[in-house]
Amino acid sequence: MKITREGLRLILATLLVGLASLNTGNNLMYLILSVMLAVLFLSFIVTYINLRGIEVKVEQLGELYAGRPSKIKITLSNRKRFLSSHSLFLKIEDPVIISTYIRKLGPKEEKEVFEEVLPLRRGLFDLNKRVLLRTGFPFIFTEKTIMPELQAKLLIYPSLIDIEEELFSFEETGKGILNEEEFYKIREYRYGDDRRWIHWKATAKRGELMTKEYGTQETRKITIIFDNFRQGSEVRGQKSESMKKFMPQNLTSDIPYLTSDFERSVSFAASLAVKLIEMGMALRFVTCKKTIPFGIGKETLLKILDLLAVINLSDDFFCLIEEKDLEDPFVVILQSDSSPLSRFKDRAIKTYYAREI
Amino acid sequence: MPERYKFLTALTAIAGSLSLIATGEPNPVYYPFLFLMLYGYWRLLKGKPQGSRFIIGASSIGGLIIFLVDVFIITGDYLLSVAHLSFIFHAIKSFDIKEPYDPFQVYFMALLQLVVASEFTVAMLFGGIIILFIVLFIFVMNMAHYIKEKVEPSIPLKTVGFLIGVSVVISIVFFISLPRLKYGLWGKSHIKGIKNAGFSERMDLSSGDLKLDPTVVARVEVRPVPEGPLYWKGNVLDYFDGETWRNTLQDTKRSLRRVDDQFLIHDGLSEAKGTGPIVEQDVLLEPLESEIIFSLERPVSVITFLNKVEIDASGTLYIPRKGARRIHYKVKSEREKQSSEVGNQRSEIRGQMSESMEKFSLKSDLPFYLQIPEDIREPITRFTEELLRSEVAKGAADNPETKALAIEGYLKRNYIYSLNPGLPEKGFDPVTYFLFRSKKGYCEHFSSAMVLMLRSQGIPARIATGFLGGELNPLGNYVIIRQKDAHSWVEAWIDGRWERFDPTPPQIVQEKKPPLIVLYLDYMKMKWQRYVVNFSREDQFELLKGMSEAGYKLQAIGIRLKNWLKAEGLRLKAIALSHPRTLALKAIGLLLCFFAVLLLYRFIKRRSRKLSMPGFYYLRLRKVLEKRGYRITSSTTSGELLRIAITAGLNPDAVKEFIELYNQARFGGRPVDTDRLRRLLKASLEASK
Repeated sequence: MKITREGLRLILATLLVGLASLNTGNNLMYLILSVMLAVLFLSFIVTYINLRGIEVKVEQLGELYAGRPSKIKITLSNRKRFLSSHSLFLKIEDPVIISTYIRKLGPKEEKEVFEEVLPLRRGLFDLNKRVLLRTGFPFIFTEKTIMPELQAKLLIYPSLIDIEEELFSFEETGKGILNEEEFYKIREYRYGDDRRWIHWKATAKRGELMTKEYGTQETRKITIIFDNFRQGSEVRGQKSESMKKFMPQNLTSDIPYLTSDFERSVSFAASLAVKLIEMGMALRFVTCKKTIPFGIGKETLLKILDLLAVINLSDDFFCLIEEKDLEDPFVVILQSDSSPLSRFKDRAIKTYYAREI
Repeated sequence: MPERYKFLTALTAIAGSLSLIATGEPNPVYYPFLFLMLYGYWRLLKGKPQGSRFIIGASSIGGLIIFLVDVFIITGDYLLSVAHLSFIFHAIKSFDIKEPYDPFQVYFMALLQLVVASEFTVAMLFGGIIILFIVLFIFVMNMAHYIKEKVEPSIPLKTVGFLIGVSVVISIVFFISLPRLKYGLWGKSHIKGIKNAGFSERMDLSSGDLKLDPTVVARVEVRPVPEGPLYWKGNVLDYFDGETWRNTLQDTKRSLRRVDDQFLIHDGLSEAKGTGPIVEQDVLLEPLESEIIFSLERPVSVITFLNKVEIDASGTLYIPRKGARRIHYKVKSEREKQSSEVGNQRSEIRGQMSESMEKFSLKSDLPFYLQIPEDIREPITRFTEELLRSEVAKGAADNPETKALAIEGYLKRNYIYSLNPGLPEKGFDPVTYFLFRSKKGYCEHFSSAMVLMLRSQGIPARIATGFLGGELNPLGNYVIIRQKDAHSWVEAWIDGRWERFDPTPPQIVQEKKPPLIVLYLDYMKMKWQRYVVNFSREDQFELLKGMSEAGYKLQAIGIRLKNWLKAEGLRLKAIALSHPRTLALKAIGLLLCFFAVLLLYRFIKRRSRKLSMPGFYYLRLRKVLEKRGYRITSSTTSGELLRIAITAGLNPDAVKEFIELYNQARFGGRPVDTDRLRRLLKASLEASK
């Protein structure tokens, strides 16, 4: 509970009137003193009770991307049976900035507020103890702020960048685009293949995992290999020409969610994944420790974005992918040439360096 | 700044200033500042520009100079000067309300005005102003909260009303609980005392005519209310210099002994000693310029929270206090038993004076009560002897008592009561002028004459001053004593005791009974004086005592209830053993009643739950339309129902909104205001009637 400047003045005035009352023994002055004490007492008590029994829920309405305005639903509930709560300020400062005001919350009442927010950075944020609930009701003498407990998390995906040109053409890949609905052949199962397509009969015959491959002459599969190995990640370089053309013209370098090379590479990887999924490609995403197997559509995209939301630079390098697993086209996003993943760059359709993003 | 906020600020300033004006203390020379203040707030409400910094600054300096001149040269009273300064401040500030925080200075200044006013008055009106201030303060501070939060201020009347109510209750609790000291630490009260001629230490017969003053001197609750006239005795006067009576025994004051909470006048009293009944008086005495207190005759003890009660050799009681202040005290008096003789107003006093009282008076002090100025001794003595001779000739006994009665009767029959006796002619003193020339006067003349006549016969006599009668307020069962009730009578030492005589002819004045509203107002004033203005430590102890007694009573009730239940249980057991069938029937009857109540409760609960379900209202709509002959089946959708309802002539807007809300609740899973549904349904149906 905080006593404001006006509250301090009132307390001082009360003390003076108290002294005067004791001195004169004048009961009318005691009456005035009683009124002042009552106002102070009421101020403390009501401010305290005003925040009791208030529950806060925060929910995402759809995906949140860093740097992109989105809506969040905040629900405030008053669990008090008989008393209302008035004049509540709810504030969140990180990872989104929210400041909302509720004038009145009746007993047992629930209010929903839809706030447009601009997430500042990606990540999975536990909102417990990040939400501030403040009130100064009923007067101007006291203020109380609490951090209500809430089971809520905000998952903020990396910021998306507009990638303006086609990444590769039919000729560049040297491979055809496969219509995935047509059965093509049975081959050995590779790490990252969809387990639903395992051909059990062939597996039983051969004694090793065999998988169906769908498509015609043309293959529409691609793998993104993302390097999040820490060593050499701080190296900066000039933007390459090939990178520049993929960047929007107005991109500035001081956007908070794009402050470091790594962050920019994460954003780029996310943007690339979005683009490829939109193009209808089957996408596989590989990092130092984790792999999202081939898949299409939003489900796969969300899995990739979930991974990219929380990915950090890693000191351990444990790459599950092998050369033999990379028969399909792939691109590599490297932090630097010293990364163990740089061995794939010669075979990659494209190699991107974080420092150039 | 919202208009309401400005208006409330202005009201607060006016309330504070009113509280000072109501005291009557500030000099009217400063009242023009109030008009200036009103003008300033009018300009503020009209949105006119506020005063420039230069003018405000210059006015403030001017105000400060005026204050300094006032406090050091003109009034010399710091508190009064602060009161004057507050008017100047409000006037200046009304032109300088710019920032949202400017009104706070107004509120604190109004608070200061209240504090200052509380030192100047204790009128009940002040209580009303305090309540007004609480209401305004709560409203304003609540609004200030919203302004500070930079949101549109609103006045949620229910909430603010609740806050005001709770504030009043908490204020009362604090008022009752805050510790009181017996006296202040420094300074003195500003309250002025009543200059009461009837209750002063002197009685001046040369003052001429008497005016009747209705100012209330005291309010006294008397239990039981005795029969006969009520003589409220205050002072005793023994020495007459020809024009003025004085109490020369004041210097013989001594403190009374305190036993428990009582100051004993007599060392012990009990009815077993054959003394008269006790009359208790609860006295609220207005501030007087005297330390004398009064009571019915024969006081035996005084109860007061103050430290000291004193008595002098004449029996006059004093409560020393700092300055004129309102005091509350209780007195127990021994009522004199009335004589059964017709026309005889003499009372027979029972009881013994204690040895300590005897030590004081009379045997050593008798000469005081025989003093007569030499220049009038002879004419008065001669006159009295002549009078008494004729009475003896008529067969009256020749003893002090009959002599006194004779003198008393003579004066009553042969002299006229008048408030305008005029001043004595040249060569006459007031008493001889009254006795021999004018033959008219008021109580002071009559009592002076009788005392001197008694003294001329060697009967010690003295004048008692105080009040006679008063006005009984039936609403509170208390007596209102006013200045105009001031009276003086005679006490003569007869047979070893002081006996009261009143030679003043009784005045049967047909006074109009005051209207009920006046009595009620006075009753409220009495309560205000007693329980607010004079609330004391002793009252706090009484409250605590009362609470603990209430606690004991509750405990006793609990024990009685427990014993009763135990007894009932045993009784029922006995019945069960002797009349098992009767008991079984009674038990079944009770169980049936219980289940009936339970079923009723569940029915009511289910119904109220139904009423809270949106579907309940939707079904009602369907039923209404069915009754009107439209075909509603279980497969009728809400859209179809809407079309049917419109066809049936129901209010289309209301029924459309109703269906939308219902769908939201039914299919959207969102909570819906069922009150709103009910109102919409009603509105829909009303249109089609």
